[in-house]
Amino acid sequence: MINIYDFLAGPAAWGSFAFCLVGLALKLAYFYGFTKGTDMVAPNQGPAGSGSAVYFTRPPGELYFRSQPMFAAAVSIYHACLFAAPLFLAAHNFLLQEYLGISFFVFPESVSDTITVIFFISGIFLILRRVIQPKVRRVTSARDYFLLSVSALPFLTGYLAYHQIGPYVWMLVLHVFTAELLLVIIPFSKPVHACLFFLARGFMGFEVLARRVWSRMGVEG
Amino acid sequence: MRLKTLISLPLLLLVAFAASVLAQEQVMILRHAEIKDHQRPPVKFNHEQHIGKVDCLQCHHDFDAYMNNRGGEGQPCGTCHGQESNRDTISLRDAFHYQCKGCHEFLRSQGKSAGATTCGECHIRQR
Repeated sequence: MINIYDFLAGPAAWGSFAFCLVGLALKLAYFYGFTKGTDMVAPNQGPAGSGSAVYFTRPPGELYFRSQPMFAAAVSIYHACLFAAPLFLAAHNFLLQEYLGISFFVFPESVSDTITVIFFISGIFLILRRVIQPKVRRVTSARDYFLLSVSALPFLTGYLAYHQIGPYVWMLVLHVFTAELLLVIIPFSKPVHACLFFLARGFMGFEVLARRVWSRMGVEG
Repeated sequence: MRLKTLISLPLLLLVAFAASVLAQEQVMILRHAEIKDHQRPPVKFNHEQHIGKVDCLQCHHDFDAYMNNRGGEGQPCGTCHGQESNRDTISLRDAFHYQCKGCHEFLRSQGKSAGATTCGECHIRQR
């Protein structure tokens, strides 16, 4: 059992991180090449595009968020916790310190624990929203529940392992495995929006802000 | 009667002293005042289990300025290692992690059996 853990926390961890980063870079390169011949989105979006991406990350600023404050809060909290809990967890940073000699700022463990619980609450809200709201249910498939579950599983197994509920080493093996599963599927599924979000918002910002300004000036966009 | 008492009293004291020393030495709970608040349950370290397996000086060390291990005299780890690392010594927490986990990992990499290397195997929660 411990050998499986050693493999997962060692070579498999490096492999899945590399796979995720290379996959995301390839996706970006693909979309850059895809739009280069037609819209020139990536080279043209410039400050209007990046401004739009920043604007979107401030929930009250975006019209879609202002009209749905509950969803806005849940989705923002979900994403904040998704990054904050694993990045600033003491145990992860100890390992990072051992492997690479670097570490981030570390939360006290009680804070990380609370962040995880908040993550679960916001995740349950997002699942319920897909179940209850008819207009969202219509565009929801099994894949969406699967992806939400895959992003939540490392948190669930990590939470159980931290509190030592259930067989500890098994839980830890499951924790590392599910986290690596998430890393591997990120570039090839909806979570790719972690990266492509910036291109999508960039395109919108460019269309709405830059191209509109240009058309007023009588310049072809 | 008085002679018996005279002989047995020191013997009794000796046995009591030896028992208390042994009891203290066998399993030590690594709760240190230097680590102000222990976020995880303190580790129960079985000293007895490590005698003979590990060179005493590896843990009971005392390094000079040139990193020569002159061997310690059994002083507590917290004498040199504090809550935070400084120029000369690593923190108490890091010292324990490197000594215990580092050694266990090294032994396992050599194909030998060794103790725990994951967090919860040492920091065990009491139910």
